[in-house]
Amino acid sequence: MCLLIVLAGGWYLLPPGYETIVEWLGPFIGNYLRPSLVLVNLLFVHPLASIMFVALWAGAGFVGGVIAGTKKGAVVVGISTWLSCLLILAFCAWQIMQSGVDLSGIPPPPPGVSVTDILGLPIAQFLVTTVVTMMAGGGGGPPPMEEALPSLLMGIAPFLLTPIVTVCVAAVLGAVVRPRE
Amino acid sequence: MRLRTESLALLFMVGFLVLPVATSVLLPPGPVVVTGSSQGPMEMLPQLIESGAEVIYTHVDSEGRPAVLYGQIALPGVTGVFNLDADMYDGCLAVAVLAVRGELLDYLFELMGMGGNDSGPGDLGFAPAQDGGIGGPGDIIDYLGDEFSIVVGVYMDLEEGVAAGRMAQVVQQLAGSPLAISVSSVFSIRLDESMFPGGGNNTGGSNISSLDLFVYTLSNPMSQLIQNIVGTFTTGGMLTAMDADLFVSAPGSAAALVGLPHIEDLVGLVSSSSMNRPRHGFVDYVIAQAPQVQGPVAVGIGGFVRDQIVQAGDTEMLLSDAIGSTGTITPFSSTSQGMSIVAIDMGDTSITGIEPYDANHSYYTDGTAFWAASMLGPQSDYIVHFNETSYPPLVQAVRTFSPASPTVGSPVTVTITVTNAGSDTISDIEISDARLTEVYPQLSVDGSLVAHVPSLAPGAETSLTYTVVPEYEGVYGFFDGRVTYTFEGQSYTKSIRDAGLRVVPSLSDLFMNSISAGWPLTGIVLGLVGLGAVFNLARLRSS
Repeated sequence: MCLLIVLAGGWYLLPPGYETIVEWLGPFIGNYLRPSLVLVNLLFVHPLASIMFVALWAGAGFVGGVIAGTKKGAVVVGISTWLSCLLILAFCAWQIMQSGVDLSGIPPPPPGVSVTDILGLPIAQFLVTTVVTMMAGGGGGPPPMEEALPSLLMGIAPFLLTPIVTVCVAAVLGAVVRPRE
Repeated sequence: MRLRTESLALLFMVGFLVLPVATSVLLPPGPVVVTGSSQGPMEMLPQLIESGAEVIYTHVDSEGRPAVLYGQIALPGVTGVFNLDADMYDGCLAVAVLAVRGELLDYLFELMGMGGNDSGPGDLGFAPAQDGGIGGPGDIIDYLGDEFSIVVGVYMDLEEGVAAGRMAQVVQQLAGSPLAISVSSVFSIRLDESMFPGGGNNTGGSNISSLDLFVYTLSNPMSQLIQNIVGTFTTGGMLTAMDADLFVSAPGSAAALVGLPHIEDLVGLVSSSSMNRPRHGFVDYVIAQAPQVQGPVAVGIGGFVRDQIVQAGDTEMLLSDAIGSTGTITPFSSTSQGMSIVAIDMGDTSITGIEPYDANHSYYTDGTAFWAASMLGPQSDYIVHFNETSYPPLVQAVRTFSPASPTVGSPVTVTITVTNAGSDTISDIEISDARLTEVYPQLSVDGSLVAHVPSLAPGAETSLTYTVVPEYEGVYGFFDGRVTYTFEGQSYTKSIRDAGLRVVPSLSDLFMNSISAGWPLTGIVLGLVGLGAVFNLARLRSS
């Protein structure tokens, strides 16, 4: 139930920036792009800029916690929901790779589509800021991977941790509110 | 030749900095712009900004298509939108509202020699990225897309929160102005001393401690926003003669308002940051023109690209054809309203004469003509004459889709109709949409993407028809369609406008397609999810 709420909410509340990516790259990458982006959007949540998705995870976790009825069960529900999303994302990504898409041939946005919408996504803002910061610090060139990776991981950790922490806390709350008799 | 064209376009786009030069040549001393031997162009710019000005610039390309840019500087309409004296502009380098639809921006970059995927290190010093990366501004524009509306603001040397707060105030003011902008998302980035190797002193000589860039994407309907921007322009001058519908109905159009609260800061920054790199004509020119300009300046620009208006056999080009004027073109009165300038650039075509011609207030050379319109007064038209042209016969090419909004998996018939709207027969016609399968290798296409026709009489039409079956959702881009043909022994190429085919996903189709694409793994995953749900429900009932 918890997973269903998260997936349904993520599907129907997909932000315009992701919709733009689907419109642009969907014909090139295939139909697994949208579910992939739905899951990326669900799994990388900015705690302040994506209040709606924090609320979605919290709501789903609360319902899961109510159903579970125990704190331990609630935590298991939360973690398993988050892991399920991660697995489905991995599956979608694998499907995209299996389709033989050559990412070096990405077409320009078609008429009527602009990537400026994508800049509004918190994750895009983080990535652009990080890359520009690194390039500025490195004298204008791309930073070496061994330097870039730790910075990226450190920066992205809050995005990644927000959903799992939110869903677990909300699930425990749900279990406290309606404990199993 | 490209250099001349590039110069003209750039001069216009930097906001009328060309005017001092033009007017110093053209105009006698007058009550608004005073010229004299002791006063050079640089001294005139502040006066020009003080008095206000409007310009119509028209460029006709080798296919006979006109691109029209209309702009106003420092006139009450555009200045009033920003209220540039307000405190929220302290520390602000520039604010711009930009709405672009269609091919105009791409066209302008091409015009400046900065477009296309083959752009290499050009006059502006843009170097191609290695390994086939994005090579120049033209490529960047390609990847920005051809339809977007944004508000951009840049603040310098402010705390991040202060800059963000002031930018938010600016956006709020613009939302309440006649522009009525509606923000959909915000992107911001801050460059501070930690990002400049050696601190701010290493930014090319300027002592910048920070730069904050804000990009707000807008959700206003594009046509409405362009109309709103053009609607802020001061009326009463040559704008009145233009067909306002062209700003939204032409194949490509754009409009922008630019506010420069402290133009001296911007000039200083550009000047200092260009100290350590190769000098370019464009940057040099801007810097050379601007040092004496002080205080706030507001510029408004609107433009559009139209279909071919000059064809084989023509010996003149009328401004009224380009701007859709049917009546008198009335400029501002230079004594009270501001200056009006008309410029026409015919590219490689040599101009042999212009109308109206006045030795003191008009000027032409090679492919370029200028008029000091305010000095000439109302005119029925502005005309350039030329002898021999290499313009192609009037050929129209239109791509249509049937159905126009298909769903995933349903066949779509694509038809490119070519009409010989000229008065001469053309031959060896080839219609090609061959790039489609290069862009989307997995797209199922039934029929040839290339058609050959031996000849096409005046008034006749021919077509290329094929069918595609889009299996994926999204917008399919139909890029770089071409019609090539021969006329009087010379070969011509006409571009077919890029188009997007939006394939609407129905949830059930998408679901079934996704399952079939990933079968049997999708079946296993669904089975596991289903089992989990059944297990949970059973558990719920038992508890």
